[in-house]
Amino acid sequence: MPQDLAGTEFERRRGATTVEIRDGFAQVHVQELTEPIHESRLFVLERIAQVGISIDFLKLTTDGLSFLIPEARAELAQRCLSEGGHRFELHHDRSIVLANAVNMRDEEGLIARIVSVAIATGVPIDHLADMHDRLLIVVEQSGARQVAHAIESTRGSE
Amino acid sequence: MKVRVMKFGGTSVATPEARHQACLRVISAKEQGFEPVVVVSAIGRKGQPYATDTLIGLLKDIDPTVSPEPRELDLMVACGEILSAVIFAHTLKTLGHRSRSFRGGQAGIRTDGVFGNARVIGIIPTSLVKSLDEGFIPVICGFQGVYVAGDGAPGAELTTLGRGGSDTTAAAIGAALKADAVEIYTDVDGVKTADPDYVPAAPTLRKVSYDEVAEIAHLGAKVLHPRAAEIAMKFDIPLWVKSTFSEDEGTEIVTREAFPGRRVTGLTHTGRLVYLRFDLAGAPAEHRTALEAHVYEMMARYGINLFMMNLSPTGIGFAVPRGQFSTVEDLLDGLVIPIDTGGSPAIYLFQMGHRPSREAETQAKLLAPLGEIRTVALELTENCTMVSLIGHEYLQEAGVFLSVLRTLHEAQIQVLQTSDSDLSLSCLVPESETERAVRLLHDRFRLHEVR
Repeated sequence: MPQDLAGTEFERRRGATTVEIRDGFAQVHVQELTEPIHESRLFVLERIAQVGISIDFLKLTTDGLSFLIPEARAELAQRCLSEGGHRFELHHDRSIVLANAVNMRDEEGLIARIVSVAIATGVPIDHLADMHDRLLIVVEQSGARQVAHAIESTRGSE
Repeated sequence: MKVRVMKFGGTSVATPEARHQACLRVISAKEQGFEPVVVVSAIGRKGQPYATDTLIGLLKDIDPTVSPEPRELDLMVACGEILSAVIFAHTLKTLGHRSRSFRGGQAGIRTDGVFGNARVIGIIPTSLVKSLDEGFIPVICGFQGVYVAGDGAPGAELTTLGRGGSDTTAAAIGAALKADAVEIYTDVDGVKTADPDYVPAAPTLRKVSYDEVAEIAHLGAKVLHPRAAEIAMKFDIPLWVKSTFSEDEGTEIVTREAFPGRRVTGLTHTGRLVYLRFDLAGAPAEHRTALEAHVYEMMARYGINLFMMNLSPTGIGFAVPRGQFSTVEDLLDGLVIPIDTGGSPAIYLFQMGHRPSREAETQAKLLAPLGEIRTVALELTENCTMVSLIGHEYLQEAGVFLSVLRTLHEAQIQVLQTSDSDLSLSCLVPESETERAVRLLHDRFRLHEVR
């Protein structure tokens, strides 16, 4: 039978509705790659793939690239990149803060608003990515709760 | 009562022939024992007399410098769906079937009070049920509802649901009527592995999960709006995407549990972006944070949609839709951000490119007496497109991103930036290379074999 759904919440609220934290990542910054830069980047990614490390948050920088790996694979990545003679930095103890916000691209400015709130905490942000229903923010594990709390505190302000 | 909600998009109601075809689908459903409930979009697409864009143009053409009030805009654009619903209902009558048209409010759709982008907060389908009981086929205006303020004022304010509004109407009505299925009719056979304009042989996917179709829509392919998928998933209503004009069985949208997915689902492209990169290498870390926060806060305040965001120790970068670029340019070129340092403030002046515009030059002259001006040059890359590979766990496997980049590199397609999530890998490429990039990746990941 059809229902009277006068009070049913058909659609989720606007803005960030929940915030989660995923721990256990390390971030790799590979720098000062030689020209041609794109081939050098492919070479780095090939070495990483050959040892079976999956990567997330791949970003291209002017002289290299950076990406996120599981913390458990950090030592292997370090060995692999060292053997390749690459100049790199490995940052341990990274977390992903996930700000869940349904259909976030339809809410103009919402992505920028969440990012600005995260930046305003002063916790350095390593990376950003977005999906249809969440924004992913990579930060140092020690600052993840602070970022999550700041985003949570904006709920209801949309 | 086995209710079937059938939503027809703009192209499916654009001409008398198309409407006739759509009506035959409705009649066929009735003859199969279903109670059809129709939802319609406005007639036609951009440029056609009753299309939403044309109606908005009637207001904007009065004086392009004066923005219409959102409430007035909602009243205006809702006319498109009203015309469409009445014409559709009358077409059904001419074919021998009793039909009754409903505005969103008459169909019982209640929304919040955000004009232009309202959300459905409740449905009272009494009039629809009565109409079905009396043997009428209800034809509902998509994209609209009403906001009841509760302040004692008589009547209710008409609201529109924003992007994907008609799909959302169909899913919400389906949920309210506990429909047997919601069918979204369009001019393609269903959800395809890629844009058929670029890959004519792109197969139609027989099943796609709700989160995949939402991600596909998020990244450019507007075959079904994620809001509709979300409602259908929440209320467990079977959802289909089909063509009005072919007998193809279409695509069924299902839960992850019902369909665990395939390695790669498809490719999308989001066109017409401008990539901006801010060189902050010369700024101390504490200044950089303040500058980043200021820029993002400004983008939020002016409703700018950001893609391909990147933060690094040397700067920040993001892409914006070309349609919003002039606003971004106005905001950023000549922008002055003073940062408190305890003594005299550090003054940062933003400029587009490495040669200052007249505005940036004027600002620099005015600020010169205050001390050293630090220039932040914005590097612009215009005419970009984001090409995205959609899938599930496979995308996280070692070497998949490498494979994407190598494929594009071997074809000498420049990749300007990358981005990824649990469901997608994206590359920003020159707009002129979009078609080639989509075709190459479609071949590389053997998407022609996907079903």
